[in-house]
Amino acid sequence: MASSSMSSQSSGSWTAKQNKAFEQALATYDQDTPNRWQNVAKVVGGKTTEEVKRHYELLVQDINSIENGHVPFPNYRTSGGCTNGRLSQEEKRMRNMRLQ
Amino acid sequence: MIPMDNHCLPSTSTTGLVFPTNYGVNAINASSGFHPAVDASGSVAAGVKQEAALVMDWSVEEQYVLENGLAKLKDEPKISKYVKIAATLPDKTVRDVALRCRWMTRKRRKREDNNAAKNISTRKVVDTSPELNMLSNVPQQNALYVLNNMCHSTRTPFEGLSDAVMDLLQQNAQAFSQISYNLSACKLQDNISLFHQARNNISAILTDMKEMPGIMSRMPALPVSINDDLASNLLSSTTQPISYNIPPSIHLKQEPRS
Repeated sequence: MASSSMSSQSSGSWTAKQNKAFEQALATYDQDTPNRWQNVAKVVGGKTTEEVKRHYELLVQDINSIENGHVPFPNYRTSGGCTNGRLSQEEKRMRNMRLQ
Repeated sequence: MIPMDNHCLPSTSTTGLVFPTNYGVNAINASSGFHPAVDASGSVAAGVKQEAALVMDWSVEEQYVLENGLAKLKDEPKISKYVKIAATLPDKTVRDVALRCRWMTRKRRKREDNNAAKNISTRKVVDTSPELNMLSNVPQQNALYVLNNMCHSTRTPFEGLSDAVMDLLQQNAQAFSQISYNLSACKLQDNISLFHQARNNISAILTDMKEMPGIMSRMPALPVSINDDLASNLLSSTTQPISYNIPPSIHLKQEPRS
């Protein structure tokens, strides 16, 4: 699977910065925008219209895989979570106290 | 050119999902079930070792932006929704947003099953409700019940909430994040004013809810209320000249609830 994916890429890989610029450009130039791919390619820089179009098609395929449950969930951590055991005990005590 | 099937994921994107090429490994991971929103530190460490690339933090602010974006863009096609929400979150990709939405949907379905099976308990609410994730690590149970009841009444998170109430809830979420940080950093004195602010916000929210027309006016009374005597006694110490060094939890023990 990896080899077929790599062979389909005619050019170099995308950096994190390029990918983020690509996604933000997608939000700016929505689906019905004329010259969408030319504008997106201009924003990203260093990519052709065909390359950004293919990158979008890969994104759509990934979203469909996620929606169909083919992708396992990451291990979401509680936001602001603290590995300090004392804090965890503190929270439990507070909850128990409230519920008495 | 080799045709790409639905399971093919981009290896070129460094910020996208990075999965093992052996799909069997993914199947094993999927069969292990979900990790609860409130993780023990042990399981977090285990998760980091096994799937370092897949450990993901969603901060309170990011979750808030996500929920707000979903409400505002609910008539948009899914791809456009995810793209626009991800564009406002600097550290998240479109794939991250899609996964999180999928996770939230399944969590919501799981919670509804729990409701049908038996009476819901506070712990289940805390553990399984992604809508409450922004508050899941804070000790303030009252806010949890507020959000929980609203979710049950409308079946749509945050529908019917006025903008003022949303602002107050956001303020409380930020205050509780700061309280959590202060507790871990042993800056307990700074929490007094934060609790005071949170308490005032909750009172304002409850007042607003009583005056809300429509379906909200038929909501049953909240099962938990603020212990005003305890809160007044504790929070009034901020006006005294004496420096208050005892941790609030110790003081709470001296005032057992009736």
